[in-house]
Amino acid sequence: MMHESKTRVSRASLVAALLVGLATLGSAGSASASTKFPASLQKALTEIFPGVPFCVPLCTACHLTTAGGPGNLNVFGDNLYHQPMFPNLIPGTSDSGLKNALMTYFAATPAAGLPAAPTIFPPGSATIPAGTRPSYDSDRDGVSDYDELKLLNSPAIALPGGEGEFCPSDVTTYGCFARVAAAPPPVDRLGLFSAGVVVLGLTAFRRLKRKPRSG
Amino acid sequence: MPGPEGKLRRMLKGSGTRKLGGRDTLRAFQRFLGWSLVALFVSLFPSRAHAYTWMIKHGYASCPVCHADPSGGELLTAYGRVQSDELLRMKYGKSSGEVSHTEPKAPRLARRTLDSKTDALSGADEEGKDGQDDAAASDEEAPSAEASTDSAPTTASSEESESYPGEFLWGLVKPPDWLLLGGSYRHLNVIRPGTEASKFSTFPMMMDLYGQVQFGNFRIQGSLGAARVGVGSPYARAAQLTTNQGDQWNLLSRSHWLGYDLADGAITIRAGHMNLPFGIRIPEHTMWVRKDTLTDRESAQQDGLAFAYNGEKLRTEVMGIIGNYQVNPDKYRQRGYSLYAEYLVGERTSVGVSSMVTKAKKDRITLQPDPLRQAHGAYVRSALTEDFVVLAEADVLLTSDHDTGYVGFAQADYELIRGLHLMATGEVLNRGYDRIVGGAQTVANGKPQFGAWGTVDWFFLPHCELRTDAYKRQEEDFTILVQLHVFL
Repeated sequence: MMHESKTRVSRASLVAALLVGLATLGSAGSASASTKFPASLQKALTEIFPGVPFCVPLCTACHLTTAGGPGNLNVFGDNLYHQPMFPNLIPGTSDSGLKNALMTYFAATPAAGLPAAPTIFPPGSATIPAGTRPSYDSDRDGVSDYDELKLLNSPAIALPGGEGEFCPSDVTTYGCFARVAAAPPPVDRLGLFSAGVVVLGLTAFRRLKRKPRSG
Repeated sequence: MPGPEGKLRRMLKGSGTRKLGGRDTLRAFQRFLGWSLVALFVSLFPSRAHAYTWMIKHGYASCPVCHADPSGGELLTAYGRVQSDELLRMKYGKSSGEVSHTEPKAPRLARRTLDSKTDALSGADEEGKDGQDDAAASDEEAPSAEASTDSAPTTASSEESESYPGEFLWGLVKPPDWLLLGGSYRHLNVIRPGTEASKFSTFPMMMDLYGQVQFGNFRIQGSLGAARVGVGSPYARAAQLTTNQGDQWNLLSRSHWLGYDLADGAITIRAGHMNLPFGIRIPEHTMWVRKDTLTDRESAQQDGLAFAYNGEKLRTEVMGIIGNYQVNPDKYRQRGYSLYAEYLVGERTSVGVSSMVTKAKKDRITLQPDPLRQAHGAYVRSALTEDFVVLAEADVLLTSDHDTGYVGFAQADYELIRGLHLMATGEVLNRGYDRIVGGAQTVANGKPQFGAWGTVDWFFLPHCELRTDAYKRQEEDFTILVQLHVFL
């Protein structure tokens, strides 16, 4: 009897623990620490460089690996990290804050000894004065971060290796047989032509076969 | 069935799960709860159980005694379930006799391993303060090979129909002998007090179901789970079955393989999607030693062909890797090999070596072209006393376009009382200076990065674990992890 009572108490505890555990499912969120940052970066860059088709960048835009996370910064991320506007660059802050921080970064003249490259800033921006002057060149390839981002090149990987790497076309996709189509599949004109030739050939063959019968 | 064990068994016959006084309401609730859980996990949140490498202190240096995977982890054998219940969880002052229960036969390899235990080992277990290893050490609890090896089914089976808390779904559902089922749910709460970003997040970290069907020497095993992670997340993605690339839910399978056992289960040949045989198979997938060698069990599994051997002193597994076919396009798939070999050098000490070489056309972690990744290292697992275990691993990292790097960890695990573990872990990482990216050397990129963990791990109920980790790594925020783990 005593044992049965203990067993029931144990079971009740187990059920209670399970219910607590299952209840927490209701508050389940995404298992990612800073999912807002890449999307905010895309939005900010699109506003700074109108007409440039920015993607949602991978973590390798600012980090050494696709894992991202605190620390683990590449040279571009490290440059941003040490800017005075850093608090505005923390994931989760407002999109406008990130945009302002980036524009301040582009407009800043690097201190002596820091990697820089001459950059032509066009007129039309209230924050970035027009003119030609040195701007940050994180990967030291002679092209500033501003110019590299405008061309979708990686500001962290020296050219030519970093060409197109800010928005790589061959991104990793996951799942069985996963494919991400960049555009609707183009019409295969050669295929259409070949199919037409086959159809015409079959029609001609049938006519040739019929001729002896009619004759 | 002489002695107090037999008496206790007879007592328990009237107090099993299915005999709780014949109370229809309670039984109905149990069944409802059981089936609800099954339905919930199947339809939404499938999950998994983990290997606890410190089980070497109980004399279990070999993994297939308790796990269906020949190198350990995840799905438990019926015998492993018993040991999990006996050796892991807190007993709240009960003696082993009070909590003893019917004992399923050990798998063939387990029986042979148990028979081969040294007298010293058996004695130590029997003389343990709780005597809870009696099940593993005594002939009565673990049938000897001569008694049943020839006639026993390959899988473990229950000799009696009584339930015990360690069974699948706590005994609410009884799978047939040829079927092993398991699963787990891990809910993680992350607290970063010092960060200016989100200080608290909570999410289901893992929800998998595991199953194995066995016919003779032939085995089919697989897992099914679900996860929702953000765009660009390094987690869960590589295990996806479904193809959502955004932050939607995805169906996962971390492992699925066909296997064939030879030599009475000592040799297993497998083909499919499997954990990589490398290093110490710890559950902490974010520990650098697993994360940066790409050998964690979170989503680093690969497709390939593996050969595993589990002998009395030596255990080893070699896997030829043909890539992860849940990652696309093909240029990101790593191909090569991974292996470990571990030798039991003392009663409760084993040393091992690991090696892995993989090549891809493009690295999905760094996005650099033509990466050749190598990791080679050694490790040790040692139970210094019955309650104190040390695990340590050190690996050299050789990655193309990087200088030579290294990663390592050492963990001390002290079981304060049965079911309550205190752990201290130190780790170090230097991936090697990235020559492509260049710039100044930083921590983990040419300079060592250090981290320290403190952990309290409490197995508070059958197959229920509450774990709290507090860690600090250089250049990272102080972080507290609170995790509820329920494994079916």
